[in-house]
Parts: sequence; C-alpha cells; structure tokens
Amino acid sequence: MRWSLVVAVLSLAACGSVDDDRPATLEYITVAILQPSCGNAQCHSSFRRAEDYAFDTVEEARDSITTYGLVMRTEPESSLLYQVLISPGGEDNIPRMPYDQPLADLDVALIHEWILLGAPGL
Amino acid sequence: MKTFVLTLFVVIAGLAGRADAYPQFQLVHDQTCSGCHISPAGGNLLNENGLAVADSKAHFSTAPEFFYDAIDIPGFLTLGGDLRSASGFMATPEKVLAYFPMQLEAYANLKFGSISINANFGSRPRQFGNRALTTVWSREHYVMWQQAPDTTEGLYVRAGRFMPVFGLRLAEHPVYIRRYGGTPLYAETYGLHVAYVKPRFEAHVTGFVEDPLISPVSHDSGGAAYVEARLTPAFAVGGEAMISKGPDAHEFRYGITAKAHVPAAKLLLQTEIQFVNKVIDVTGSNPDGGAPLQIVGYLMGSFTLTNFLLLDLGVGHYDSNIRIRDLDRDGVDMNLHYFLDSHLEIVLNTRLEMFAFGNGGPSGGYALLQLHYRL
Repeated sequence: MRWSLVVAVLSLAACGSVDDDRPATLEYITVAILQPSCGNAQCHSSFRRAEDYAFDTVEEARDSITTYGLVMRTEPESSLLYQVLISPGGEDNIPRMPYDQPLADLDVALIHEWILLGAPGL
Repeated sequence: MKTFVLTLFVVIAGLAGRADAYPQFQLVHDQTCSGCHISPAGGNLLNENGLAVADSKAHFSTAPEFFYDAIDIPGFLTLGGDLRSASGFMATPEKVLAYFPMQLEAYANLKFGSISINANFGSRPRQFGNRALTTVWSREHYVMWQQAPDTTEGLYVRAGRFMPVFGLRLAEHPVYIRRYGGTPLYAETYGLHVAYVKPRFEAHVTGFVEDPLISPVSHDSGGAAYVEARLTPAFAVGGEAMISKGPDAHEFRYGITAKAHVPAAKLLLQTEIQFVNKVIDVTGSNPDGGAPLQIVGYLMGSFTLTNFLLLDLGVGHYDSNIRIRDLDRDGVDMNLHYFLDSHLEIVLNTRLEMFAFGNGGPSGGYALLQLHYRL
C-alpha cells in the first residue's frame, strides 16, 4: 500500500518538461484530443452524435467537419471548431465546449495551429 | 436564450448515464463484488446478501427486495432496476444550470442451475435526428455459467454484452480512471469473460470486440485482465492490463490498484494508477503517427460518517502526454451519499479541477444533487 501511495504521489506530481511538439494533424488531434474530450457517450460520439457531429474516429471527425464546414482552412478564428473552444459563453455568445470539463490551453493551441496550417488530414 | 439552449442541450445530453457497483463497500462488508452482486464483476442486480447490506446501510429500514417485496416473484427470477437523475450547477468553465435524467433501467436474471440469463433494458441517449433504431436498448445482456451456483465464488464464464472487467470500476463515470481509463460511460461491448473468484483472490480475463450492431461508444477490440489479491481481510492489491485496437490507434494499458480498510477510522482507501500508451496509426497525412504516453490515477478515501452517510473524497490525475509541459489535469471530488432507505439514495457530487496547478488552462467544477431509486 505504501508503495502504491508513493507511486500515486509521484504521478500526481508528474508533469512534462518539453514544449508542445505534437503533430498538428487531423489524425493526432482526433485520437489525442477530440475523441477523449468531445467524442464521449453523451456528446459527439458515433453513438449520440450531438448536433450530428461525431469526433470519436478520424473518419467520423473528417466527415463531420467537412459536411458542416466546421473548419475554414488557415482561418482558425473563422472556424466554428475553434470558436466554441474559446467562447466566453453566456447570453450573447456561442456555448463554450466541451460543456462538461475544461480543455487544456495547449490542446486548444494545437487545434489552432492545425487549422492555421491548412488542416492537414482533412 | 443561449444559456437556455445550452442548458437544454445538457439536459438532452444527460440522458446518458448509469451506475455500477459501489466498490466503496468492498472489504468493509464483503471481500468480493460477487458477495453482494449476481455478476462477478459487480453492478446491477444485488443478491440476497447485497439486499441485506442495502438495508443495513439505510437510515430507515424497509424491505430491500424488488418493489419492497410486495410482488411475488418465482425463485428462478430476480428483478430490479435503477432510476437516477441529477441537477445542479456546472462551471466548466461556462456557468450553466444542468439537469441530467441519467438512468432508467430495469434488470432481470433468470437462473436455471448453473446457467443464468441476464439482461437489462432501459432508455438510451437518442442519437441525433433519432436515427437510432430505437430510443431504448439493452446495455447489458449475457449468458453466465457458474461453477458453484449456490455460492458467490468459483469459476464464472459470461458471454454477451457487458463492460470489460478492469480496474476499480467505480460507479462515478466522470472519474478520470473511468473516463480516460478504458471503461468510459457506455463502453459496454460484446465479449467473453472468465472469472475465478475466491475470498482471498480473484482473476478476470475479458476478450471483447467492437459492437457490430449499433454505432458504439467504444470502437476498440481487444483483451483485458484484472487480478486482485486480498492479502488480509482489510488489504488488497491488484494488477491490470488491457490491449486494444481501434480504427485509428492501438492502446496498451497497465496499472495497479490497492484497497485498504481502516476500521478504526471507518475509512476505505482505494487507489488505481494506470499507464497508457496510445500508438496512433501512421498515414499519408500523419507520417509521424504519434505515441503519447499517459498516466491516469485516482486515490479515494470513503468515510462512513454514520451508518447511512458515506463521504467520498477523491483526488484524480490525468496527464494526456507526460512528455509535454502543462497537459496534466488534477481533480478533487467529494461525494456525500445519504441512504434514506434501502431503495432511495441522495448523493451530492462535487468536483474542482485544474490544469498544471492553474497554469495550463481554465479551471472547472460542478455541484450536482443526485437522486437514485433502486427498484
């Protein structure tokens, strides 16, 4: 038990030391960000398809993004997929997503970079 | 108006929801999940001992059986069900009032000697445009063979639709070890489960495939193993491993669990640490693939405040890529369970979470009051 507690404490304290060098591609973003944060059961899974968007596989994400024009290549600020991640919410704005828990700044920045690069993989 | 729309969205989205067992009671009352549940993995229907425990935890004693034992049921049949809803305030970070219908499910178990047929039936979140075949479904259904059907131990074999047996299996599906730990909400799928359960030891091996019948939550196929050794009646350690392949990546998960009951403090400690290696497929547009190594962990202390009040304090950690700075997420959960009678439970669920100790993104939290009625 003591050993597992030590591991737990070490894990809780763990954090990376490298700046973000993750691939800005649809494949990586879908698997590493969209699927775990947006593609869960209640929301944008193939199972539920809230707003008819599904982000739980690359194929579904590609289909949702292209069908509904969620991304304007090289224009993140004009892309709904990015806008919902930074919206302040409230009465006069589009809802902030994900609705059930916040998203890391670096994840939002990687999506911004991906769109800015022309959305490779889309 | 937009707040209303978002609130409504949350309401609709909240049709998803369900609950499993209460591992908080393991070691405190019985050594194994099968000590209280019909399934060797826990969850859903209670057995005779589980019903007695439910009544023993209640503020006001009532008949714990199905519909307060007001209906005569043949001995080969066990019926049950769960109704749950929750409402409250969320700031994640947008501030909304939310209502979650959560769960409306009925369970049945037909037992004929060593063979039993188990199924549940209830509402499911409606797919957009109502394109699902129906808005009701059977989340779990399986045939089970039990080596010693009049006991709660021995060899079990299940074939059908259920959640792969893995980790602590907490009821609270937002905890990181479920959401990011290989057993998220509605990840049940078809599989074959072999379990060997003894008071001092249990082992579970599950092979599973992506559900071919519906658009599933989990697209993975693979195998999972979980073993738990109870070194003393108050202390258990476990090991876990899962390998799975999805349409875009394959995953390796491995980790440990530990549980310790401290009777003097009326406390049960549980922890799970899981390492995850996601290997993302190399494609023409993703030539580098990607293999983020992740850590998911949870430490929970459950305090029996009084016989009918249970307080959970949990700390969760999830790092979606341990190489990269400021992607780690920590959450503190507090759940207060009040068991009014053997069927009705009121739970206050609260959470505060943040990235990189406040440096990696917006913080979030919620406070939800949950009503749970067990048929």
